[in-house]
Amino acid sequence: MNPLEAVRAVLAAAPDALHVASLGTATAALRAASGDGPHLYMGGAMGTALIAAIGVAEKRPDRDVVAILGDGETLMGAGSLWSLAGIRPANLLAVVLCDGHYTITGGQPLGTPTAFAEVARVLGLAAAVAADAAAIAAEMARLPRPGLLEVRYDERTAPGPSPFVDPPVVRMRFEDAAAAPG
Amino acid sequence: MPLRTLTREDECVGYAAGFRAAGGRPLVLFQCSGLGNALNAIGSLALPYGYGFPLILSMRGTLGEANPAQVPLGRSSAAMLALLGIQSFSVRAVADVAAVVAGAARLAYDARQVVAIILEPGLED
Repeated sequence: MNPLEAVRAVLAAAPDALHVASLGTATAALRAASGDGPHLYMGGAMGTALIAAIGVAEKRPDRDVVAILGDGETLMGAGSLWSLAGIRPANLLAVVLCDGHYTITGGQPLGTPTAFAEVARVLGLAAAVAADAAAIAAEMARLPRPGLLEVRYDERTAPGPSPFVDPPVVRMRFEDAAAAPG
Repeated sequence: MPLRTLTREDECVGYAAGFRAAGGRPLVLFQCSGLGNALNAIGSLALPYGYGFPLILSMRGTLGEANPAQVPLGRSSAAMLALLGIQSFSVRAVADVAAVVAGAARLAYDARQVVAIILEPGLED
């Protein structure tokens, strides 16, 4: 599985959710999988995508919210796992795309354990690991919210280099999407 | 609006950006030394996306400071905000708070600006 196939499965399991994607691979994959849908794509601010998704989820508790995160991103904003466990938004799922590398800066290894689901469980969050599209669909249907789904993949080929993100365009499109009824 | 106590100051900026992105009106509070932690979230999320909110900073490292570790980020806070193009307004008297906050809220939510309100040392309790 590659990240594009993983994010296609996430989107298929939550087609009406508000999606927030961290910079780099997660944003490139979500754009490609959704036909550049009106999601909140990060052009920078590494480490803040999960907490931004928590802010979205708390403002729109009537909508499903999915944070699609790189593994390095999740490490950089690791405190937000604690915030997720403390705030416990009942409409938010964090999906960590886990290949153990900083992909968009050249593929350097993370150099740390990639125990995202285990850490989430210790914090009292529902968590699971999935390594193919069928498991992603099953776990997204099964996991309570807030929850964390660690998606393991080893094909680091798609979706390619870091995408161009035009922040005002992203903002306007996402504001419209977030204002729509749930 | 719920009060959320988060783990770092850049988390506060990220939360506010998401809350704002979904149509909310957030307010962020932290000590000026946390501005250092928050710079990247401000510079690569709040500002380029136009997520405006008031940012209330309690000042350390200036008049009356006894802790050397508070001084470098304290004395440079206003200059860092200015370099980022963020307007900041100092509050030294309680009587001024309501007007400054009301004006900052307009700038933040209507004009879509990050606006800093600096609570200066000596502000009455």
